Amino acid sequence: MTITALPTPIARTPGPLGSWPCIGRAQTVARIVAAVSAGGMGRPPAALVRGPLGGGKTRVIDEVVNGLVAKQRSVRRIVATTATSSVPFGAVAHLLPVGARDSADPLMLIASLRDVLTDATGQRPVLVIDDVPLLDVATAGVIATLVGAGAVHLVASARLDESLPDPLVDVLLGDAAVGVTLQPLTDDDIDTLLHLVLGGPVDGAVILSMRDRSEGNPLFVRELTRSALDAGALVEVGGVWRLRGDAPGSSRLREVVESRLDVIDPQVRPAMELLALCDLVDLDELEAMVGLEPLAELEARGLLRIVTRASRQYGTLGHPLHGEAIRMSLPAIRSKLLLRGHVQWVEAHPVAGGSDALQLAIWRLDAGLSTDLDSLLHGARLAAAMHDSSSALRLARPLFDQRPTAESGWLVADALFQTGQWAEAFGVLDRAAQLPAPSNLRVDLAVARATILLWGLGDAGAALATLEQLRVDPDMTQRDLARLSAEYASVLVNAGRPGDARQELERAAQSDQLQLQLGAAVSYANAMSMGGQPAVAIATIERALATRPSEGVTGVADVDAHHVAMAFALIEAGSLAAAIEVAERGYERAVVGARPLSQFWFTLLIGRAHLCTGAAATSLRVFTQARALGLDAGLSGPTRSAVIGVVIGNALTAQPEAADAALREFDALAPFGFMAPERALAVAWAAVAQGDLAGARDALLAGADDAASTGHTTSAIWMLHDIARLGRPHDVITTMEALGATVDSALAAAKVAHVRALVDGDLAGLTDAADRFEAMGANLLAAETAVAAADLARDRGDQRSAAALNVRAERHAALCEGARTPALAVASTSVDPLTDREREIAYLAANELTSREIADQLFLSYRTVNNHLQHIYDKLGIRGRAELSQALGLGQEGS
Amino acid sequence: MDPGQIALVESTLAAVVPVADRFSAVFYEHLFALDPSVRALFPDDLTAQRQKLVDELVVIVDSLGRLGRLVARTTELGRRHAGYGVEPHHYELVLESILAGMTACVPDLMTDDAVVAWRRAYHLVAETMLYGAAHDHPVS
Repeated sequence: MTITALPTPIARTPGPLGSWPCIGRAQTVARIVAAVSAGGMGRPPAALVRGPLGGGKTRVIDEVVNGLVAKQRSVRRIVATTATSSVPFGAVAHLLPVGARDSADPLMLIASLRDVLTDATGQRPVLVIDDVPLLDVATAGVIATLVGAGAVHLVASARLDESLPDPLVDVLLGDAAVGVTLQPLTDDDIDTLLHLVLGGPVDGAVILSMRDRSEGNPLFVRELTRSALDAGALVEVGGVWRLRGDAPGSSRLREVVESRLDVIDPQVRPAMELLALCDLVDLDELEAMVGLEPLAELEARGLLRIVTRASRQYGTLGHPLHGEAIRMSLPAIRSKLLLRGHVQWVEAHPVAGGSDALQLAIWRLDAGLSTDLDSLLHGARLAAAMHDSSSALRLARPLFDQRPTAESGWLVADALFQTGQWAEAFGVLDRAAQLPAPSNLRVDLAVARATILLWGLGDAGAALATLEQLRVDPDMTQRDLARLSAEYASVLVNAGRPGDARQELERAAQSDQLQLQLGAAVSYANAMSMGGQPAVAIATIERALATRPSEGVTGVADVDAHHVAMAFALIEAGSLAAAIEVAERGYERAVVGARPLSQFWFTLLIGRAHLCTGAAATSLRVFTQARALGLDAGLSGPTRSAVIGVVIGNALTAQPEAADAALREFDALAPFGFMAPERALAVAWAAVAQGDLAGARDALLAGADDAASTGHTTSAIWMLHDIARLGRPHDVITTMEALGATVDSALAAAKVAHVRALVDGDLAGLTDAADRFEAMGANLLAAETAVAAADLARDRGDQRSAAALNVRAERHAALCEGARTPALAVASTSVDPLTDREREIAYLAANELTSREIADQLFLSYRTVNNHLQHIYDKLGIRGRAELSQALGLGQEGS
Repeated sequence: MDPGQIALVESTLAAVVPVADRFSAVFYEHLFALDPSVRALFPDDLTAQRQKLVDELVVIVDSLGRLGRLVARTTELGRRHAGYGVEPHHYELVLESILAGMTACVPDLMTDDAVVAWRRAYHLVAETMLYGAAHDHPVS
């Protein structure tokens, strides 16, 4: 494996430890080596060294490698670079056996990469990755799997301001990982460093000057020192290194680097520019460009390093920052010309073991030369299989332009869809559909088309028709038909008919055909979550995540979809904190990977989980964000679910006008089947906010019917439970218990138990339900249940229990960020509480309904309403309607 | 670190040499108080150790102005100490203990400047020892 070459001498007086020792990092290095060197079970599998640009990460990694080797660990080092970052397996191409890189089967390639990276002896090697943010996504995916399986340990470095590759985020930032952030060098460090580098004592003024400009950044110290030496400003006088006059150099690192590059001889500059474009260039080629002596000069000045790979010598820039600075000032046409020369040279000088065909194809592409389309196809397939959409698009688009085939079209369309550009994806699919294709590829195209029709255009009917059309095609094989059936069922789940899809998906999820099984798992899990069996959903996703090779299988839902399904199932099961964690992690990965669809779904689920906890303000905020993300991504259909959340959030925070506005917005959105019955929740809570409890209950009852009959059992239980919360437990208990018998959700079971206890006037049952809600973090429901229990205790004359339960209710309600519901209305007041009927009337009156209106709504006489109101005023100790709202804890907005 | 600082380190150490026993006693007492687990790295009887400590300091300080000689000695010293089980985080404790010993023996000489000079000198010694500990080959 490549071990970075020793630093080159500083030209004049090389210090005794080499020219640029690693100072002040021994404890950090020892910590990382100790963490990964034991290699036993349960040890941290990964360590991440972060630091600013020029913070000394590479030197620390050098020392870690040295320490690991001293402990007889086998080390594989991979240097990720800008040039290889968008080439699938670009960072490891040189490690793969001849031919493996060109294997048509991604699984074969992954297997041979695993062989190379792991150890046949069973000892776990340590993979060391420099600049992991530049690692191509494909390699990162394989490494994540290897670490997860315990086959390797991982040490990586990353700049503080750069994002980790998507697949490695959990591995490197997880609880088991050791993370260190490199601190600036201290004055003592700088003193020791310069003493060793210059070979003698250094005047205090030099240290101060260096420290003030560099702020302890090691690269900056190095660049300043070299600049000062070059300019003759740092000199040895009487055995001490001193500054003569002002030290040259700006107080900005980039400017110092640029000024060092500015003085490169124009004859030599092309070599530096080529290195900036390609990172690693054969030394012979560099020599052919500019001659050997200027290269020696560059090496002596620390601008060029020589590394050995497969017994050949290559040049690379002294520091990545040099490459950045050069690329910034490199005109586009000049880059093309340089690349053309490079391609010519590489093609004329094949290396033993074969050159990297894909890398060459990309260079030819960037150089504007005709390129090897087979290599592009191969690369695009790899990228797609590894869910690296942006690389896939970069490779497949020119391929489809130059050689349009059904497959290249599918690759472009899939990558466009994954990155949220579905209008364009749809156009490509139209063109690709005209081209001849084998039956399985036609299925791929139809599935892609159906997916865009469903999610992008909200047209479930057209999506189903697209799949239906192929199902009657005589060319379809059994395998194709099985997949079409599963995809058809998946569309049904998301089009509001999960009940009709369950059987088909259950069959597919148990298929021994991996692609079918993995693809169906997500939809099956979602159907089960909707159908009241989130535990089955969780088990399905866990199995899929455990069996999927995590990469290498095209045409299946990506990892995001699995995590979305998992978060959804956890919410429906009542594991709210776990759901939030899964969704927040997923959201972060989706942000890093620039996948707008996934960002929307995770945000929606974070909102839903918070809504279930009762965190009213947070859920409103998150749903509002989800709505914006959904509209921005063109997902007008699924955005409806976010808008439902916005309505409820506004209703809970007593903002009836905003709730109403959101409800109108909902109805203006394109109709869409996904979780459609939950619209009733929005209608109902908007009505609650207006004080119309009867209207709310009517909407919920209709919604629950609709939900139960379409397979949305969890939603049905939610809505029936809300009817009970709005004062009518007797109306719903039978249906709830019937539905409850079919579910495996702790949350749904607690809701049923809650309603049963309300119906029976069962104090112990209510307390138990409150405990269950509390344990799930469903604070709002726990608070409402404690209020009901307190009322019951007081009715029975048990003032002590009543007071304790009231305190408990307030404790739970305090976590709900100002959520206000009818069932909570008297939680914070009332020595002598209201009956259910009085509470309902009080609530309506507080919302400015007249006694006449209340009487009409509740089918009571005008006189009875007024009698009730008089009792209410007496009990609450208030004089009239004007004080009602405040006494009920409804605040100003609600009145 | 400049020649003035080197001279300061040399002169303060010279003042300690006549009371080396006291210096060593304070040094070890302080070191073991900072981290009792360090005691296990030393033999039960510290008599020989006490003498070695001051001898080693004298030799090292003597070569502060001649970097090549200093580094040849400290890298080898660091390599040996790693073999005894000394770890990077112990080095800070040793500096603290040296300063405690110096302050106890020659309080008037340990001015702010002298403390800075000692810290700088020690840093150079410690970093090169750590290099020797990590890179198991002699430096020429």
